[in-house]
Amino acid sequence: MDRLFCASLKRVWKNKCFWLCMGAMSAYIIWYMRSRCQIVSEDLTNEEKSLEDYYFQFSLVIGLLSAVFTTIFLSREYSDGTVRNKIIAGHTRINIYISHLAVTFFVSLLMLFVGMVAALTGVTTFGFWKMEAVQLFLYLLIIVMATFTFCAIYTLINVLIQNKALSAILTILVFFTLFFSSSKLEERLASPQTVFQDIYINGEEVNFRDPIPNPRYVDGLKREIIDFFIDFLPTGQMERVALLRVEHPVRMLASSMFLTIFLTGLGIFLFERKDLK
Amino acid sequence: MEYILSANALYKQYGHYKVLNGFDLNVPRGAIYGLVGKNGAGKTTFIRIICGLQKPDAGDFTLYGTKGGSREIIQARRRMGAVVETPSLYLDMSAEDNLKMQYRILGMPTFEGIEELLLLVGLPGVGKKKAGHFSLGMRQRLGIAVALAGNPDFLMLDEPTNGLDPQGIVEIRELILRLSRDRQITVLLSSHILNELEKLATHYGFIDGGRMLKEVSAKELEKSCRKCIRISVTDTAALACVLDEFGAQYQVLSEKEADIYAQVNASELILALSKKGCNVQSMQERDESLESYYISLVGGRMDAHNKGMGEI
Repeated sequence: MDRLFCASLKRVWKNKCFWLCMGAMSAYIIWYMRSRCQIVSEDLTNEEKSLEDYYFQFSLVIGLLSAVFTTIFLSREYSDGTVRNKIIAGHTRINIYISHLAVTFFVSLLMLFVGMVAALTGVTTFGFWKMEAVQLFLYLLIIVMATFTFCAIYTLINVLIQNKALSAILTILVFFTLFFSSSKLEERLASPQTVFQDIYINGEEVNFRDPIPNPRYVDGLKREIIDFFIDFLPTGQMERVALLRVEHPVRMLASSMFLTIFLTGLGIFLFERKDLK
Repeated sequence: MEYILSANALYKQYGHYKVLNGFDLNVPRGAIYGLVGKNGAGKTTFIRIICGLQKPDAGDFTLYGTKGGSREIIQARRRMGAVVETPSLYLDMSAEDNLKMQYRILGMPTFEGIEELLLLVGLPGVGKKKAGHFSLGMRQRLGIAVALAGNPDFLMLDEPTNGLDPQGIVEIRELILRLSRDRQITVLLSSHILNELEKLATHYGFIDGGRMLKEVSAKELEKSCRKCIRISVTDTAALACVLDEFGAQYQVLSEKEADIYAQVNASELILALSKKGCNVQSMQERDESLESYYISLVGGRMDAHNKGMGEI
């Protein structure tokens, strides 16, 4: 498998999409941090902000960039037919699958690293992290594991679907579906427990009023389930890390691990039985 | 005879359509084996199965004596190269980089021999050019170079001359002959362009409807396709006597029929036979080509003509 991994890595360096994704990650994060620095420096409220408030923004884009890279890099194996060379050369399908996963994960890690370094441009305004080192490490670990899950999902799609256009559409669609699902769920949880009802007397709004229970507020078991799903989805994890709302880090890590193992196992099972053309 | 590849009752079905239906095949070592069949006969499916791209529903094959279903088949596959349908190349990479990729995949310690490979397949001086900018013929040759990267002694080429111009066809043919002659590589090539195969193959396998209709060596085929005169006489013993005197090769088919494999003067022959009291009832020139041989094998059905034989 190391032979396949090394061969694929060599291809990565010559791949334009890889450099485009790396450039996109660094450009976006630098732009984002500079704009935050500007907003904070112009803010007169003197609200204290620290680097971590904006630092993990790269976690929100890694899913998309990883999807773009994976679909372009792996679908080429089918469109150019080069996956056949690997099988004919005597590599097992399990090795081929794992090498694909390893390459996409490695590249995603590189993109994460670029994002992490680019986000340090905020140091000039915010200084270094004020969060504890253990917490910082934990957040980064959650991001890495969720990235692994993204790679497992994308590898599964791109190895099993031979049609380049279809796999590209499906990969991007899956990312946005996950992203909007977790955003929607997070929005449900963010609804306040109580709301103020506007009272109008003779057409004029009365300002003093008692809060009433919010009908959109989710509580009890339903809240627990939604909370679990947000932690379960890689997009949900990334959003929570970016917003510094991580409450169940172990649950997040376990979810990522479960999803990655399950999806990789499923992918290998199906790839072993797949007729290649 | 030692066989590099043997298939035994292979079955493969796509939905309700049986692509391989008890397919048998034997490729002798050192042969250039032409797998002949119309489109959809099962040639590519068979090659895909041998390459490990697909699994048969039933039946088995052996490659270098290793069973297809065994774990060791992976090792056996390392000794073969293949170009299935289109050449498997990274089109955004140069010819040299494509070969380097294959060397890495094979785990070869150095890139030694890449220049020679490009030279062998007739692509000298284009190592830096991207495969995507190659013509179809150049891609085909680069595909063969990639297949040859591991120094295989068995090469499978699926329709290697498909879509090539006449010059490209000649070049590929010469390359295959060179590989067979200089490197002693056993070659299995599938094709439905029979006049091309005729110039190459030492053995033939005729496939139709997922079944092997017949396997013959080129010599056997030549014998059956040999130009001859089918003569019908009242006494073949007298005919044999006359032909011996003429020094002509012949084969007696029955009491009244024989094939003469020589140019004989019809008047002299008839005269000589009448002197021995033998009458000639009919004489017919027979010239069976590979094409007509194939048609006669598949039954000369009209659908064969209409679908697959258009290119023959």
